[in-house]
Amino acid sequence: MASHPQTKLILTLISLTAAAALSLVWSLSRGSLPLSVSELWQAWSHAGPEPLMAQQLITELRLPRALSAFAVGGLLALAGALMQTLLRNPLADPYVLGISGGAAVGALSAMLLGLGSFWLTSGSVLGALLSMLLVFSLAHGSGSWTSNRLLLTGVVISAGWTALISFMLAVSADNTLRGMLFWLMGDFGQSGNPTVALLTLGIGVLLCLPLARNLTLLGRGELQAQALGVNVTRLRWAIYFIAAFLTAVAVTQAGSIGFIGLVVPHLIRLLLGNDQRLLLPASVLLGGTLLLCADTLARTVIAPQQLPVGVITAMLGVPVFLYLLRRGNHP
Amino acid sequence: MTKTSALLTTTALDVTIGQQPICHALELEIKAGERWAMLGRNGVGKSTLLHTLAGLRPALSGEIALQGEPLKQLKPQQIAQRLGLLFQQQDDSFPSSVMETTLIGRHPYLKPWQWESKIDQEKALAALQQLQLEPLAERITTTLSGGERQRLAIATLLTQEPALMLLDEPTNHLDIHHQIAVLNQLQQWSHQGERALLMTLHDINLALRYCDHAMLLFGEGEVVAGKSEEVLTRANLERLYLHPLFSISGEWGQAYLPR
Repeated sequence: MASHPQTKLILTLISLTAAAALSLVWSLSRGSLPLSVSELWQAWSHAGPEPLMAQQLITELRLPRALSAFAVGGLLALAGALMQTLLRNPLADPYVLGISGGAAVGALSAMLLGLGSFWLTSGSVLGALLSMLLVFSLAHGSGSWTSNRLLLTGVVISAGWTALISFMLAVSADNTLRGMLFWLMGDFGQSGNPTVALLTLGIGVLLCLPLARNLTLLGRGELQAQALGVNVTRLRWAIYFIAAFLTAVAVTQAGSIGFIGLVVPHLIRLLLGNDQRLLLPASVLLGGTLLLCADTLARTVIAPQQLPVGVITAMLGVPVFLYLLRRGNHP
Repeated sequence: MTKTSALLTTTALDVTIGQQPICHALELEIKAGERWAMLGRNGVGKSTLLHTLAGLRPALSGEIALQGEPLKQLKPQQIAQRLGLLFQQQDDSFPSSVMETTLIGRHPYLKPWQWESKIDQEKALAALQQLQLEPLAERITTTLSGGERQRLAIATLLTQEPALMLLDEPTNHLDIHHQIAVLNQLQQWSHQGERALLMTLHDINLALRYCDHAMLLFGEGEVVAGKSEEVLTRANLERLYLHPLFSISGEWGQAYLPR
């Protein structure tokens, strides 16, 4: 019987992993110098003293970029799934609590001051952490803790960051403006080394999977979860901090890419239901794959010019999502 | 009085909502085999008291013990293995099937990495069968009627297999036939092993028919608790509901009707 959850999990993971592998190959082969699969294989297995040009192209440019796109997609989808459960609001996304706003203010400050890429990264990390702690302490406040209070605090802090961002855009010189806009829309042009993002993703998945059944219960209401033996207070803070860190790392890697964190968990939920043991790993794989494909398109459709990847995620995501929503299917 | 036979005991329990007292210095002992009814006017704090007894909110003062052990010293998971709670409303922000919902009753028994076993599945299926929900097993809960959802919540509680059930209006949304069917199920359940239940009801006559003990919440912290035949008297009930009652009796038993 295919509806047995473990069978469903294995089938889903196999097909999504295959899709991820295919999209990785596709992404590596596309670009200013198109490579066939056999050329890719040649470059990959080449072990001479003189590296091939294709080999350099792949290991130094395309592979790091592809891996960071995959990692960021996975991080955003996982963070989005966690936020939706934490706030029990299907409209929540990783940015709803203001983490990306804080990161953006940090990064834009670095650009405004004309500082280098080290400061840009540090600025966005600091901004994200600051925002996270600010929302945490304000929402915690005097005892009582509700999803609504957390949501409202996050939304208001977000609005504050947005105002600061608009202010910075207004006062910055024209030559820095383009960089700022790309950063705000999300871009892998300067994303650099994917190691930290991949590691964070791995750790995030390992931390979340044992909590998956608890998260499914939390989605049914805090009291119901507690009555079935979930330590709700501890669980909520754990997923708040996990989701916030995942988002901070994603935003630092590539700016605030929209849509993935909101839509991927929804797509999985429409197709497979809300069992978090399926939802979390499937969201990570689908989020990574979608962002990898979107980034490949972003750097190739109007080459040599590049588009911000956020434009592609929205353009592809909106119609696909609306189609699935209309079909309204759940077996 | 042995420790094993008392499933729930309260000592000098004070519970309040804001400034309003619900019970004052309550001494309650629910033993295995007993079925308790909790009656009171709207807003007098029945649900709050149930939630407090289940450990979901703190009491102002006093002790609650579950099978002889203080509630405060038990982990949530241990509490959930001994005590199950039926809520007045079920929340479904996210979609799930009837079978999935029933299976959450097994959560207290599973380790973080564990999946529901075949035995867990069978228990859930048996509970669905008992409440005539088996044909709906694959349906999404949002497509169910109010009464079907209520029966699903009770099936989930049966799957949880607690020793003590606290039920907040188990007859909510049910037609007469299903009211009796569900209460018969719960009565049968309470006869199997060391089990007991406490339920809030608005129907005095169902309380008379199914419960051997009753507690009346008068407000202002006053609670009268004891055997049904001693507590569910016309005088007590008229004072409880601030409404005059008829009492009628026949060979089938006794009933009260509002004047």
